[in-house]
Amino acid sequence: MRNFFPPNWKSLKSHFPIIVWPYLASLLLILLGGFIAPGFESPDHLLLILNLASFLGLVAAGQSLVILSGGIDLSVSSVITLAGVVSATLMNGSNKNMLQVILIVLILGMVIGFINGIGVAFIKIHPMVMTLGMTSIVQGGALLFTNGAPKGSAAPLLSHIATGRLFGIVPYILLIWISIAIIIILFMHRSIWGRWLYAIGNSPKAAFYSGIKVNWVLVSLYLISSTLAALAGVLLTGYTRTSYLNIGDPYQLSSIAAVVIGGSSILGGEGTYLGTIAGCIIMVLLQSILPIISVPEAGRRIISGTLILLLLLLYGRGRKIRS
Amino acid sequence: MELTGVSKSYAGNPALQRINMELIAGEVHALVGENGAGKSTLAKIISGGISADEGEIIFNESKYIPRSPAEGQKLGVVAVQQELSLSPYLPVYRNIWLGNQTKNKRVFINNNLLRRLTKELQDEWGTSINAEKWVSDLSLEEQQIVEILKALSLNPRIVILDEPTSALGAENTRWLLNVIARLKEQSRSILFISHRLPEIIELADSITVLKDGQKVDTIKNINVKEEDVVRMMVGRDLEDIFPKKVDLSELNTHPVLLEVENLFAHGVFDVSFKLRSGEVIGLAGLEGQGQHELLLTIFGIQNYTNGSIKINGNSTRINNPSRAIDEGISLVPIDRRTEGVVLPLSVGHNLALSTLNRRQKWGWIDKMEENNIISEIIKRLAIKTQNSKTPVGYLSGGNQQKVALGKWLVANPKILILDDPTRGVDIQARKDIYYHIRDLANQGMGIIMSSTDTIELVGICDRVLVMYEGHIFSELIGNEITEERIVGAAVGVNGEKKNVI
Amino acid sequence: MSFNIQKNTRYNIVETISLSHSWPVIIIYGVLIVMLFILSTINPTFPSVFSVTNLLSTALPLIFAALAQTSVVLVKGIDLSIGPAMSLIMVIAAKIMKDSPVSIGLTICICILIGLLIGLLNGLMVVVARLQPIIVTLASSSILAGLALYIMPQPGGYIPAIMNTIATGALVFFPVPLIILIGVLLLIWLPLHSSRIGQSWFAIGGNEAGAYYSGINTAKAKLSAFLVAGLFASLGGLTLAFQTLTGDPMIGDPFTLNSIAAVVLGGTSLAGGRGGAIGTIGGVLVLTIAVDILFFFQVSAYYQYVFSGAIVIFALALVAFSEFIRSKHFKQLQGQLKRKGDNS
Repeated sequence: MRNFFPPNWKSLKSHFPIIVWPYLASLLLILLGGFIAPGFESPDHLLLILNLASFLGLVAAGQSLVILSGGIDLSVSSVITLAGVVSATLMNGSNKNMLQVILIVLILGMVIGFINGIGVAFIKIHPMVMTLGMTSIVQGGALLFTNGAPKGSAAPLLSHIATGRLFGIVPYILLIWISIAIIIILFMHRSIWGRWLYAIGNSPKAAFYSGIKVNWVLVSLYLISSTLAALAGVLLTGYTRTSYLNIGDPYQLSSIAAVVIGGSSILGGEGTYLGTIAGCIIMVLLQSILPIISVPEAGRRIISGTLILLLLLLYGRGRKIRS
Repeated sequence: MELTGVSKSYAGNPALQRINMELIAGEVHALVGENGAGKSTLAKIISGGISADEGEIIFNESKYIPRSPAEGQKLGVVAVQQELSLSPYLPVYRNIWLGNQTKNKRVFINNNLLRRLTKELQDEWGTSINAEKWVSDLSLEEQQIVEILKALSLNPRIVILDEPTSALGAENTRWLLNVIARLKEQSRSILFISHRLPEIIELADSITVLKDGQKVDTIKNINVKEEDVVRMMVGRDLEDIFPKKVDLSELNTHPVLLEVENLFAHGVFDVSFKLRSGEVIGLAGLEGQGQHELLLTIFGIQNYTNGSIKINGNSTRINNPSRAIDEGISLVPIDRRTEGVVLPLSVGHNLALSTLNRRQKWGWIDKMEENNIISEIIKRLAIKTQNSKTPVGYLSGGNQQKVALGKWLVANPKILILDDPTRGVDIQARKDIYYHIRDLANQGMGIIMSSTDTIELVGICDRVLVMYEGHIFSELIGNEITEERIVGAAVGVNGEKKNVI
Repeated sequence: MSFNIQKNTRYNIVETISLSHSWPVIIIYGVLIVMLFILSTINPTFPSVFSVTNLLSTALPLIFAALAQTSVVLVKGIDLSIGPAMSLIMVIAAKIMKDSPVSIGLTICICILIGLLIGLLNGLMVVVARLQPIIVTLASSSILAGLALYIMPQPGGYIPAIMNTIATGALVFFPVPLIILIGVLLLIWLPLHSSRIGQSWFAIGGNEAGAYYSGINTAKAKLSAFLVAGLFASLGGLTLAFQTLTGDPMIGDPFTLNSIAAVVLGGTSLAGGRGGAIGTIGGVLVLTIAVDILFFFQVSAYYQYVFSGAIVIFALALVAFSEFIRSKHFKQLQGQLKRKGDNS
């Protein structure tokens, strides 16, 4: 089939690494926002954007790892919700048990991720189906725990962390995101686990034949993904002070979209978290630009979907060499 | 068919440059060349799989520019590629007529018609494969035969066969040769691509040699000798393709590295043998007699149900590759593209892949040490690549195999297992690999390699174990290793006849 | 390794099932029969025309969704936009349908056309723009959901009551849903399955490159799979509209994931090339009856979530386990065949 774009476009594209595009796109969106609403591009507002992006950033980090390995995690939304409602209920507005509660919730996330990993790696259930089944179970768990009516609220200290700023400028949440981002990026590019990850994502068979313990690496990835989702859920509860039953829902599609818009291949083996970061920023920019021009939820969905398609057409079509 | 000035480049790298060639009715035209010389590219252009950048092809006195394999087929050009085009989850009788525009053109499929056509086809060409079976249930050899039948069913004027005999055993190779003879009688034209020079010399009417995308020459196959062809392929005389062997009596004093006793596994029945340091053992026999399975079992890819494996005298249980690697065993697998290397990753990352644990602290990779090791291996194995960051997928097959081997050399194993290491590898790279094997053995490694190339086994092995139906049928030592005895043992002659069916 | 199943070798029933290629279908229908049995013991009104009609009505939208998903999965794709597509169709139907038969007929035609259009757009993105199906349908699911919300922000609209009577009623003893289902299977799925295009779906799913080199127009075939998916999605949306007599922009959401669950349970492999409608329908029925049974035990609605998720995982673990046993069986059988030969 003939190529979609005229030839000179294609050679222009190949001169830039993929990662340039999502950052370019976010820049354009910021400019667009500045054009529509003055003050959009102010540092204050941009910090707010980054603040909001931090939550998505945590979830997308786990999603990045899982997608890179050739899988997908469809359970993050329900893990976020579960983490949110459980922490709100157990903390119940007091600082007394905050640390223990956070620990419990994170462990809950780890267990869920561990089970996902075992199902995918050892029982060889397709990741889509495994995490899908898990999402149902976890959602039911959240409903049962709260009996359909979530109550409780975040500990004040947690809220302070989730909404406060260092020196009144830099949000604590953003700092958390940045630190985790640095760890993830180092993990992917300078550690042996990162090498294993890219090998597995491109050819699990060759990775196995090279002596890599493929199954355990996969388990660890799903574990990390769920744990990060749980962390995001806790922090979200701190941010909104309370919790509700679909707090995690928007993060499911957004996390996957952020990863893909960030230049990772949905099939695995290709992409970086650096790109995903840009993807998160783009998703949040979209969500904040549209309300400004009074576009209702319906329009937002249409435009997000269309934008994702456009960006993918631009640079999301993947490499030629595949194992 | 006449090709003039056909050229093709990939991202600036020329794969074919100004190829001129003629395919004549009733003739077998052989295409030879090292890996990466452009043979498969040329075959795909002729069959319609890819389009040429420059040049012209005249077929039946008109311009031939197929936009897809389907178009090529309609015009009478059919190719049997190395990768199978069969659909695994459909039965044979449907697979053969897949995409056939003449016999299978009605909107609704008539199963009985297809069955009947299949039977007629098999009768005509003398095969008897169970047409009801799903292709995925057939052996590799049978799949190849079905693939060839499928090509024949299209009644082609030009048939392209790309390495058709690599999966076929002796008997079926003879069948294929008969098929080719008949095609010649029917005035069709055959383009035959192969690495096996003896076959080429026997079959071909003309031979075209490609080297690095350019045509070296086309010669008529009259009194042509293998060395002549090799000289054209490589550009110089290739002498001493096999290194000198070692004194066998000396070998018997070396320590035993690996001892396998009464091993039972899938495809392996009661296998026992010893591997000594410095020794090169060959596993021979017909395709699919257990050689591959035996090697997988020793490396831990598949489990064994009975028997024992002893390393340096110590009994150990090898359940997975990591265990095997810990014990000092390495395996260069049979399928380099999906098992031996990770194609999209760089040469360097591939070479480092199995030994990352050795150059890290708290998970952090020591890049400097790694780069040293990578460049050292690239030099040592003479891997032809621009630099260590090139994706392995861009390398030729022979060089990819070197990377697959190099990865394990970094691990410095005691026991090196090679599963058909020179399949699809060009002469120059083969020679390199043979010399490396002997080198490594001389340094104390114990090497087991399985191969279907008897000449190779004769040339490089100190001992040859011929397998048949999962047993070791016959053991040939030193001077006993000859082509006749290997082939004979493979078909059940001159061995201790153990309950052969 | 080659092995020939000689014609006069006989196998016991377990071996026959394991070696047969339709074994997932056999298993799921076995499970279905067990569940029907359980259902008949706990529910005194089962089986009767009324209860069966009820069951089939409940299952019908998911059956359509799952058939849509089956088409796409066979060509190695996935369709995450099925749910929102159904919502959109439902909403459009509720918006424009009036009482006259002409209006009803016209609306149905328009809805089907829109379904085909959705399938066409998804398909073009996958085939022409060469994007991965999961991402394309992820994006389009957002777009379709937005469109549905835009057309009808709150549930509402109007469907003539007669459609409900027809859709959930019974013709003499035959439940209409059953008639619809059989009709759809005979008129749509069966012709597809025995046609060259349907055939090529299996070929493409099994070996796409090979199918292309065999001369199959893979672009056309994949596009057709998405078109059929759109068709079934529109039928599902219409069914929902007729059953509830309203339009609801968010009603389709759970259908996407449930359709995937049903497809997988029914033995269609997500890797493509294997499976089909029969297994999928079995999967849908198992899921639907499972919920029904739980409902009868007055299990809290929240547990339903837990159970449906657990069922899917459990069923697949079972499948994986059976695969494992099956491959072991193959090896044992091979060994036995050899040893049988040894004694001769």
